[in-house]
Amino acid sequence: MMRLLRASTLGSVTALAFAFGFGCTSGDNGSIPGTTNGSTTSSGGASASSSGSSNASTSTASSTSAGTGGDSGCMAPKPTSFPYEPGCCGYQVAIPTVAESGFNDGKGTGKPDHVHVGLAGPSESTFAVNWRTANDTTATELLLGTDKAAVTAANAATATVQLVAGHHFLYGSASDGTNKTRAHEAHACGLKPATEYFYKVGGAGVWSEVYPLTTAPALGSSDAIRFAVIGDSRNDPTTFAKIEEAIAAQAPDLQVFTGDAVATGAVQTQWNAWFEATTGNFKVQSLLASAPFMPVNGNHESLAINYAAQFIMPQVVEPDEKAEGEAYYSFDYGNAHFIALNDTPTSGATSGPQLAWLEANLQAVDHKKTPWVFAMHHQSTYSCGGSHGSNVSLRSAWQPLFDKYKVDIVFSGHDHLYERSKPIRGLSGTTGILAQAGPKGTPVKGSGTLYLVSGGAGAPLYTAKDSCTHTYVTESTRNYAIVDITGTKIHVKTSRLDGSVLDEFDFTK
Amino acid sequence: MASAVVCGSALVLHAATSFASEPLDETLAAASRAEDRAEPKVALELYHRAAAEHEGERLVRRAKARIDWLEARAEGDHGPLAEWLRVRSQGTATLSEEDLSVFAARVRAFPSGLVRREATQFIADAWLTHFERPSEALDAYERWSREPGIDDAERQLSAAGAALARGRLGNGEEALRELHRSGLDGRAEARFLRAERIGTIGSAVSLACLAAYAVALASLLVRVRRPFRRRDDLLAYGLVGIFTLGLPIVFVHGYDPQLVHAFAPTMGAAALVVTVTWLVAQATEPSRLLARRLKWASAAAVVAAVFLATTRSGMLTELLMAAWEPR
Repeated sequence: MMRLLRASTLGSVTALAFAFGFGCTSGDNGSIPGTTNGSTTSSGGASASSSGSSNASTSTASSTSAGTGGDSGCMAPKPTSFPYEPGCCGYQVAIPTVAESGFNDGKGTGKPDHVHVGLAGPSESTFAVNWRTANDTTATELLLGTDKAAVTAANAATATVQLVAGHHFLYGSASDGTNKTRAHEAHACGLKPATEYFYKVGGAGVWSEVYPLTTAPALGSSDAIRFAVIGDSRNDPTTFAKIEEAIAAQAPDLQVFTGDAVATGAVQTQWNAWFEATTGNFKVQSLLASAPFMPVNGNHESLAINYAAQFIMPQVVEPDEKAEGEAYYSFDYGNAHFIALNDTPTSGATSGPQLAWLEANLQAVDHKKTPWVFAMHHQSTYSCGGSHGSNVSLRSAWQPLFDKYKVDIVFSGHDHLYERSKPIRGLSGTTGILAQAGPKGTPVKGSGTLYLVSGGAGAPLYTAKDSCTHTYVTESTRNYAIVDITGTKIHVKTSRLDGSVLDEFDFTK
Repeated sequence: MASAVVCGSALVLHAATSFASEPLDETLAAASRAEDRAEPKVALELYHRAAAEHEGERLVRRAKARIDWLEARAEGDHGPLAEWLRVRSQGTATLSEEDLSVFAARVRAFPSGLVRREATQFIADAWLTHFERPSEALDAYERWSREPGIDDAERQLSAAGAALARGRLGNGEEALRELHRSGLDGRAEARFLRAERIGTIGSAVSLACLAAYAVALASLLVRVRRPFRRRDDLLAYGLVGIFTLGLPIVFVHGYDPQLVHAFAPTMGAAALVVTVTWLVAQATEPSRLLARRLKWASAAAVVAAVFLATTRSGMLTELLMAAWEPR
């Protein structure tokens, strides 16, 4: 839960913080509306660096402010209300309207579970963790460092282990009745790019497992990045777990999810089953906790409070935007720009603030730094699926922008199958115009946008049809896509649940 | 001889030095290509070297993940894995039934372990979904379920696959009993089989209903000659049609507005019955008693036609599965 208010310029940074891998790195500020690109810092960061705090500072649960703690030199006043700015983060965090919320007080002994990571700020220097405990636990601490053994052994901040204090709140939907859930969230900021950190969450004496998390390469870097694309896992945690197990074996840097994680977003028991999905040998949580998971809102989530409460996304509050700014957002990772859109309900997506935001966001993309531009949303603009098919209203509203700003691939779900379109550029009425295609139906020098439907992570499969002229390949099967980007080359491999390859293509810009 | 040894050592050293200077991403790419060529031992060696030579680099985690995956499938000195990767990379698109039968026989001879289990799943799924051979699929799913070391997810997926295969073989009831016995009533496959059962029974009833209706219309056309007295009965027909058509549409729209267009066959079927009934009524001008009976018969026929169209288009199964999803 985070609200990005601005990306301010960098204050000074302590050398000692860098020495331990924590530091507010300099970089471009976020010029793209709602984008978490560019390293940021906060007023807290500036004041903290002037205060000269060091890594050796022994932050404690009671004294450390929410957000990054002492070793980065980003000590901020302890927050007292929401939204607040975690130290050194340069953005603000908001929470849904709930009856009870607060900040770390170190109390309680509830064991953390449902640990998972998301991006709320610049991916090369921040990450945030969200988890659940028993309702009476309000200790909300994150310990991290680059030395796994030190993090494992730590029970508080040390010379090499940083303590980040966070916030917590008790939420529940109308469907949940009196069954409330205690969510916790902590934001680690001022980190070094392309660096492996280890972290655990909880509070003194009661910690989660130690998980690894690698920050993104520096913004605009041509370093290789890898992300997984899946969607529509609803109501089959077993299949979802098998797919996540296969994805984990590819060690993606992050996952993007095209919506409909559960059947009813307002029912917490379904989320519990989702987070606790296991194959017996593999726990989904192990992947969710070690690679950022960036979802879009599906019609089955419907921006329920459970969805907004549990996932971490950049919160740029646009006019009329719901879910504390998490309905739609964007972020950068390496040399790629990701735009997550909300298409539920469709009527709210095809006009108004989101459409204006989308254009402003695309217009502001710095193609020198992020030559790859991806959009993701739930209801497919191009799908030949027998159940839903294409959402022509969305197509009419969004495709002109995807065309104008040459979005490379649009990911979606909703139809429970896999489908990839031929390159498309332009509309004739509401029909997409096929663009020049290379081998395997790929764009030639940005000739068109590919529309890829990945909606087979557990929900009952739908019939695939190949009768649409826009379809290059389709199949009704469980699937996941792994996208590799190395500089100006992209490689996409989509596999079935059994590991066999369903679709594979690459192209260069 | 000595010079040959020196020369050989130099070559090895050169190779090692060359490798050490090779960027990590290139080594990873080479390892990945080795996997694609179904050479897991070569891939494993490259991943190990990458991890050792580039310790601490960001992408090493990819090598470590692949090492874990490959080493977990090392049974038979990676021979079965190599064979499995070859078939897997070929995919079902170019795989013939004969190829699959041959591979299935070879898999049975694999040592027990992950590779045999995963290959058996592939075979079972291919028989069921690609070749539509439920009998062979059932056999493979049952073999998979008996594999030593099977985890809970595999147990569920094999039972679910076996249930679908049984359903295709016409043993839906037995499939449901098996799922119930395994505690898997909540899986989508169970909902699917229940929906299919309703579809099968409902279709038989609907067909009988439509047949009776057709016979009634035909007999009316032959026998009835009296005028149609109450014009407002036409309004009643309209109301019956709106009621019969409207409710399903409202239901579908509530689930997903985009599904309404897919509901066209259903609406068309209902409209056809209403229209035929109206035309017959116009032509035959039945007595008030017969007209009333015709109204009810046509209403039943509309329901039957809607049911059949919904079932045949796959909508019934989809709607029922959605309605039965756990909330």
